Amino acid sequence: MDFIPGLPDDVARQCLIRVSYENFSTIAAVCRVWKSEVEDPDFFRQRKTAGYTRPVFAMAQARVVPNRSSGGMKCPTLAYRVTLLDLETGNWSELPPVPGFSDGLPMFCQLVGVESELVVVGGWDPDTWEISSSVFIYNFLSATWRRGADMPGARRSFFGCAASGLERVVYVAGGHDGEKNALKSALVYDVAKDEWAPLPDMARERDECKGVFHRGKFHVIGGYCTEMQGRFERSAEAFDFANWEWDKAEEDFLESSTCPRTCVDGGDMGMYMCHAGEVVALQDSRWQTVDKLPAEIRHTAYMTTWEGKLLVMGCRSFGDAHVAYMLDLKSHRWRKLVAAEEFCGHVQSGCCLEI
Amino acid sequence: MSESAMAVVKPEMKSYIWLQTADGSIQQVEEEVAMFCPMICREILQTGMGSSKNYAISLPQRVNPAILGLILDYCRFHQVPGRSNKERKSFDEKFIRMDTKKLCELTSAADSLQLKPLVDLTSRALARIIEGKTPEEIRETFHLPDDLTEEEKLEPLRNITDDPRIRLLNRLYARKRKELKEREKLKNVEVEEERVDERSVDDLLSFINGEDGDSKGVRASKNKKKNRRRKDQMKDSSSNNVNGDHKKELDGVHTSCHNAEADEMLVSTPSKTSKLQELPASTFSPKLEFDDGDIDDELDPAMKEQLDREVEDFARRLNSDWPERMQEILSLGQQRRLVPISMNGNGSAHRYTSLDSR
Repeated sequence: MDFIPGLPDDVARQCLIRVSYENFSTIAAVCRVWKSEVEDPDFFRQRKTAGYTRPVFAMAQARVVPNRSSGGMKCPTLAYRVTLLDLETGNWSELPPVPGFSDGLPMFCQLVGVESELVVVGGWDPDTWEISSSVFIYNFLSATWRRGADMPGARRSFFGCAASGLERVVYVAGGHDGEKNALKSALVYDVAKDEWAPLPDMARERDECKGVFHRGKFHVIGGYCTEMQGRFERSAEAFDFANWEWDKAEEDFLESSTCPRTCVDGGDMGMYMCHAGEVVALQDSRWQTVDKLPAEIRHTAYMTTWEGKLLVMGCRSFGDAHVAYMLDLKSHRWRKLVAAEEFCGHVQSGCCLEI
Repeated sequence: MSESAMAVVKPEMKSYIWLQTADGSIQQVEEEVAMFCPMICREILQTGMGSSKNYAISLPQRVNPAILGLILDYCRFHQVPGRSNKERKSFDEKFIRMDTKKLCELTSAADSLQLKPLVDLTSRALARIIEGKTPEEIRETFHLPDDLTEEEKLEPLRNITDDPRIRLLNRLYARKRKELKEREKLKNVEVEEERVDERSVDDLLSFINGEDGDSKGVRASKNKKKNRRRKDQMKDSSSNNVNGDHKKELDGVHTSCHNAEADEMLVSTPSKTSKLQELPASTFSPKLEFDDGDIDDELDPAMKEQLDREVEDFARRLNSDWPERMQEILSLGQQRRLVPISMNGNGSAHRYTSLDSR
């Protein structure tokens, strides 16, 4: 049957691949042929090669809920859900919640993007604060959530996590277990096969490390071992997928012992990070200042880069609304992004997707 | 260079190319305009055709005379080298203002002539038309069949099975599937009067479960008033419930659910000998038992439509409206578990109900 009656299939496909991602679920609900087309991985690949994908930042962002008393203590509970920031239009939107998990996403979960899917890994159950090994995957083509295989092994939180788009896998390393022991173990998750596999252990235990996929390798940066609680290391390790082994740890990777939370992959430009009120970049094995952070951002919650632009989200002081700024790396100009109130919550983690 | 390929060239006159469409009619077009089309250009250069009426270039079947006219307009404008981008863009935007059918024909024709910029323009226009339309509207515009099943349209999320609400939804889909089969069988049976069905959902569900041999007509009139009253009550008592009749189990749980019908779906009906069980108070997990054998009863098409709507509504709400409402609902209806908070050696608060096993 013709895709669009009157048009040859490949021409009809040209029309469909130009439709923006918000309409995927609509297309999938039109008729059988359209549904199978939009859910075909080739459709997405063609879209990407033809250049019709748009960069979208997905973030686990808090929506503050009026006080729910829990266990005798009144904590302002934050419900996290996935928000999307469309770079091109500047529009903010929200993904539907994971069905059955009305309390929101697990706290401190990690978000990674793999092609047209968003993977949410781990975190703490928002209600009981138990460490969760859950994996949730949101498929943008069908606009639905599904549950992936749980992370096996020790229940870990505050691990480093990054995705390799090319191989469609998600790497997880380090973190701490239920007894606050730092972990040196690592795993890899194959999204398509829905399978976890162990990686060889890192050289060191790394609690609260940052995972960055950079130049084809999974880098685990910083963190600390069990004995040195909170005293961040400056070293980093990289996993060589081809040889299936960790490279020798780089001792002086970071300039100073700080939390590597804001470290992001800058592609050919090395890596970026926020440090002491500045944005710094790792170029030629040295961290160099790129620009000063806007005054409004004293505490950086989240940072990500996309093709010559840097997005930073932070606040002036804890409890304040978060603001988003965009830095154009070429012109070195900061631009504040407008966001409605519901998109000014704290950002746990996030990633950039091209859809 | 084209001179050598052309058989007849009159230097003092403008050069024309002759084109023939599938219906046999022949048009002549200025050479530079025709050459803008890669396919025509190649024909001229490789075969030397097009120079006279007898040697007109045959165009692909997808190009009819009217569409050819449009394409040539496009070529005529764009082949002029001096135009600014702004001019071109402005022309393009006006150019594609036509009905969808013609736009499709134009896209198809441009593709057969390998006129990439026009294909790009028209497919982008079609993409814009698709965006912002509902699936139903898209089907109408492009004459596509409505061949997806209800469950495919709404994606029942089979992977997450531990949630009773999902299970309920899946059961409803199973039910709907059976009903659709029934509908096929009933096609031969005459459908009586068009009747607006005002019965509440629990009425319908209990009817499906096959209480008694009451004829539909009698039941309907009997219950119409009762249900309208019940519905009004539901709408009024939005904040604290209720209808002692069947809401006693769910005190306060339905505070924020403002669609009365969906609530009734999950609620038992003690007033009737229904097979639906009561809902437990502490958790919002309906344990509804459907006896699928009862589906074989004759079903009223109007009721089926209502059921359609309930299912769609419920599914939509399941997928999109939970956060706000459920926050409030759960905080009111659910009991908070008391959990010990402990501080471990490094000063970080760690809250766990039991030691995590490794």
